[in-house]
Amino acid sequence: MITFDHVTKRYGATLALDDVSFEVPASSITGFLGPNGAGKTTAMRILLGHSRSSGRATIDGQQYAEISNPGGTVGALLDAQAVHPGRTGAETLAVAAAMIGVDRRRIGQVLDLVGLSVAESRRTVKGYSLGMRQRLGIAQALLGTPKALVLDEPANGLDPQGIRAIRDLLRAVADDGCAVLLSSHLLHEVAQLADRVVIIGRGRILDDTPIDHSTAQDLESRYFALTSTDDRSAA
Amino acid sequence: MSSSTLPHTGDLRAEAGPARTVPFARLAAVEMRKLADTRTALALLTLLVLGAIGAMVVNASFFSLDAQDVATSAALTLGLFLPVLGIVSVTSEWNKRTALTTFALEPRRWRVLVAKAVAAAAVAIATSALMIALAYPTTAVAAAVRGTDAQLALDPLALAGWTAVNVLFTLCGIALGAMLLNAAASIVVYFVASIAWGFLGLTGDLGSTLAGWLDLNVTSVPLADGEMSADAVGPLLASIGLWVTGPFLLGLLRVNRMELR
Repeated sequence: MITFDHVTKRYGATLALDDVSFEVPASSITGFLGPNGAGKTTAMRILLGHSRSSGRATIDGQQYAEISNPGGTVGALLDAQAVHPGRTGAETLAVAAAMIGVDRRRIGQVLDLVGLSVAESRRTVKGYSLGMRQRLGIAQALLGTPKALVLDEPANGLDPQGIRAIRDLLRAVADDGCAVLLSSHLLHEVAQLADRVVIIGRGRILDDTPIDHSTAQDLESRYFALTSTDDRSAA
Repeated sequence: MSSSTLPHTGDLRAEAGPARTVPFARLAAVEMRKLADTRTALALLTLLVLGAIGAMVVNASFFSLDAQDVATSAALTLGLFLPVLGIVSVTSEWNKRTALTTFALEPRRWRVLVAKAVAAAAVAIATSALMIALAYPTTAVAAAVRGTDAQLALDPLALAGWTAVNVLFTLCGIALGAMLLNAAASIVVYFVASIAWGFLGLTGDLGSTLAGWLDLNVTSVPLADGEMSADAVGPLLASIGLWVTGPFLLGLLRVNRMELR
C-alpha cells in the first residue's frame, strides 16, 4: 500500500503540496489527476525520496530510503527522457537489473511485456521515440517484483495500441497484488483503468473516490468542476 | 506495440531475485560497468590506454631505455585522461539526468558516489598495472631496435607509489565532479589549477611555499618517485585534503541535500 500522510511541501513562498493525504491500496490502480503544476509529480518525487517534505509518504509503512532494495520492490517511471542516450535499451535494463540483483533473463521478459523487440532493445536510446522511451521506462519499473508502481504520465507518446496494451499490462500487474499510482491527463483512460481517482489542485486533494468504470463522462465533469477554480497563478 | 493481449501473469514477477539488499560490491561493479557501456565511454578508455602506450613507446624509442622511466612516462596520458574519466563518471548522472533512476535504485546517495570513486580508482590501478606490465617488453624491443643495452629492473615500491598517485588524480576528478556537478567546469578547474599553481610557485617564497604544500602535482612527486620521506607526508596530506577529501565531502553534502528534478 502507498500512503501519503499529511505531506506538505514548500518551495520558498510557494506551497506545492498542502497537507496531502491519501492511500493507494494493494491490488488496485489509483489515477492521480490534476492540472499541470498541481503537485502530482512533486508528490511522486517525495514518495521516491527525491525531494524532502514534512509528513510521511510510505510504501507498506516504510519511507523509500528505509527499504533495503527499493528498486526491487518499487517500480517507478517519473521521466522517460531521463535515460542515458548513449546506452542501448537492453544495457539500460541490464544496469538496473544488476543493481537490484535480478537475473539477466528477466530483461527479455520485461521487454516482451512492454512490446519492445530484441532488435529495438539493441539500439541506443537516443534513437528512440518518446513512446519507446516510455515502454523502456515501464520495462525497467517491472524488472523486480514491485509491490508498488509509481508512473508519471506513462501514456505520453504512446499510440492508441500502445496505450491499450499498457492499460492491460497495468491491470494485470494490479490484479497480481501491486499498488499502482498513475498520473495522467487522459481522463477517459483513467476512467477505464483506475479503481480509484485522486484529484489534486494547487497542492490540495480535491477529491478521492472510487470510480465506476462505466461513467467516464462523470469523471470528466467532476474533474473540470473541481479544477476550474484552480487559479495556479495564486499558488 | 504489437498487441493488446493480457500478458502472462507469471512474467509479471522476476523468477530469481530481486536481492534483499544492494551490497556495496555490486554497486561498485555496476558503476564500473557504466564506465564502459557507451561509445563515448569506450572511446575515452581506448584513448587512455593507447595514449599511455604511445607515450611509453615514444620515450623508449627516443629517450630513456630504463623500464622504470618508460613505465612512468605513461603518466603523461594517464594524468590527462583518468581525472576526466572520474569527472565524467559523476557529472554524466546530471548531464544525462540518469541520477533520477540511479538514486531511485539506491537512495543512499553517498554509497553511489563512493562506488563511483572505487570504480574509477580500480580503472586507474588496472591501467597503471597494464602500463607497468608493458614497460618491460616495450623497453626491451626498443633497446633491440636501437642496438643498445636497456635497464630492465623495476622498483616495485616506486611503481606502487606511482600507481597511488594515478589513483589520487583520478579521485581528484571524482571529487571535483561531485562538488561542481558540471563536467566543463570541473575539467577547467582541474587543468587551470595545475597551471595556476605553476605560476604561483614562481612568484616568490610565499607562492613557492604554498605550492609546495597545496599543489598536488608537486606534493605527489616524492610518492611517484618512490622517495617518500617523513617531510613529504604533511604537504601530501594537505594537498589531498584540498583537492580530494575536501571537494569530495562537499560533493557528498551537496548531492545528499539536493532535490532531484
